[in-house]
Amino acid sequence: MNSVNVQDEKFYSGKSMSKWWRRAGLRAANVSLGLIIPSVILTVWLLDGFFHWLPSALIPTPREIFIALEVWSGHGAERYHQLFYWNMLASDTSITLIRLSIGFVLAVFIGVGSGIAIGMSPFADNLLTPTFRVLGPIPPITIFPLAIILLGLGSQTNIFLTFYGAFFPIMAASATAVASVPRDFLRAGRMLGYSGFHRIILVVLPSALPAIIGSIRLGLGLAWMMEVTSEMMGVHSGLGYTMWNAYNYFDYSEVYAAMLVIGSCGFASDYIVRLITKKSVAWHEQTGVRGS
Amino acid sequence: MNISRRTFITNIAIAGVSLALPPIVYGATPKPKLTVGFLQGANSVAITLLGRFMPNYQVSYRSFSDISTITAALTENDIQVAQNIYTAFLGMVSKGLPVSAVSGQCNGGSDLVVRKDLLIPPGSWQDLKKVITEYKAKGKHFRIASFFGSVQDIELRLLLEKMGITVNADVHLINVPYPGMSQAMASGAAEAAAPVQPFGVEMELSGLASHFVYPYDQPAGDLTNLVLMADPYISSSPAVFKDVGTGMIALTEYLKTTEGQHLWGQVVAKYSNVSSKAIDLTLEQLTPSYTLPIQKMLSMGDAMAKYGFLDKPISKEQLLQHIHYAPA
Repeated sequence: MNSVNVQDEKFYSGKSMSKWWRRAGLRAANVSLGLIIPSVILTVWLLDGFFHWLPSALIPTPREIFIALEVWSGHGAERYHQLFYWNMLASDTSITLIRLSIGFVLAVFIGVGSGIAIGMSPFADNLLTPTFRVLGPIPPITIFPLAIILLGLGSQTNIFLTFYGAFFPIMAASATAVASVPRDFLRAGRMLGYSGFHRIILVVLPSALPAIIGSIRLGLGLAWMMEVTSEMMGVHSGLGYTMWNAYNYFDYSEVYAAMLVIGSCGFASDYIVRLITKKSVAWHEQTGVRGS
Repeated sequence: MNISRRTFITNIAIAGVSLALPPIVYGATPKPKLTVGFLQGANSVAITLLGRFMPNYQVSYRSFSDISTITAALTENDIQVAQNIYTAFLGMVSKGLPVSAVSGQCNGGSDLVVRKDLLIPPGSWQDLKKVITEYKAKGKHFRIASFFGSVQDIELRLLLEKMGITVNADVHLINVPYPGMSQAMASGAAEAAAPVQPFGVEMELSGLASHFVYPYDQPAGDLTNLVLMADPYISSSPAVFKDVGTGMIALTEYLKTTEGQHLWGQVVAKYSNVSSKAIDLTLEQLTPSYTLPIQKMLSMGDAMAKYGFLDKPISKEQLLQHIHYAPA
């Protein structure tokens, strides 16, 4: 898609203007489409607050969640100032994002790297795949005791568990994507005189990239789950820490507020990954099903 | 004896139909069903013996792994009786959840253990403080593994405060679930831990830690477990509520007897994979009790509010609204 240059004189001409409006209209329609399900959920939720279909003691109203968010961000009535999460939203969010980013970036680099190696080399496949197949299905949270022994308590353990959660799907999907690159592409690369390394960078990687990016987005979701879960143990800060404490003391408004923040951060981080990777797979969008 | 095939089939059919018929058809009154939920742990599993003391009910049991899920099941009437911990109950009271305490269950079972290589003699606060000071002088934190949200965590905070040790300034509490405490101690990630039994006993038996003190010398005492029922269920089934209260009194008294202790040990062994020695040492530290001490509960509520887990302390009036305690 070409971007609209507002400095361009043509932009102000009737044709470009109508194109701009058409594009804006399309975007607004897309955003509206994405808002349908959240709006339905919110409406049912608000109605529930009125009619009490669900146990009101366990399902807070949107207003109660808003108050919890206010307290968490350092506002709200003075009576809430002694709560352990008062004014902690910014620091909880930032520390979680830092841990998540480190664990996730490590998972991307090591996962894609090993995926390429397994996908291209039968030796690497035979060496690594059996071990990964055994380790992959183990829920990361069950290795928490082992992680404590190896790494101690603290952020390093959270980062490791986040890495562990995201690594296997990224590695497995990357290996499959690389192994599926048509042999003709490699032959073409060889004919163009590309060496082994250049063949990976210029032929294999671009061809496998759409599937690798899909696995990265999947890995990001799992990284979020693992980061939040692992913060329920061994650390003093983070979104998972606050959510777990609130859960243990029946502060469901705060639990739901934390869910909302985690969901929003997950959405934003996925959007950022999409933005970063959009250009590199633009060709795929044009040639794929949606481009037809 | 020769029985024809026809007679044999007829007899089998009659027997099958008789077994399949509901008891009411042949005169017997069916026993009302009652589902009891309980948390995992040596203190908690004793409640699976309640059925012996409620012979007029068909009692079944469901195990839960966390306090919030068991509470949700109670308020949804998936279970009618829930064993839970006092900190959870006070959290429910502060949020106005429609549940009430109907009986105490079992107290005690908390421990404060220290890493063995620190060589701190049991009960010597002077030595513990000395070690804490040394850690501070080296710019390190003295870390205590504590499971946030548990009774043991609140007992520990209250005890440290009483002994003049300030949380966050002198010692750091790290949120570690009970099963992870051994690893935390073994890896040197924590210098002390506040487990529930049998985890503390197991740490001591394995040589990882040594017992320092039972953290009961503070205003909340040794409160641990109690029994809850949902308010709407109590209103609709007052007879069941009364029978549960009566059954709990009989059960807690029975658990104090030799026979009761033996059976309790068997139940702990059934639900956990710990040695018989650890079970014996655990049971010695547990105190079955049906009472609901109001003042200790209020002290626990004060501590929870002080440490930011509740938005304000719980008043006596507020607490009494959530206590229904009227066994025959």
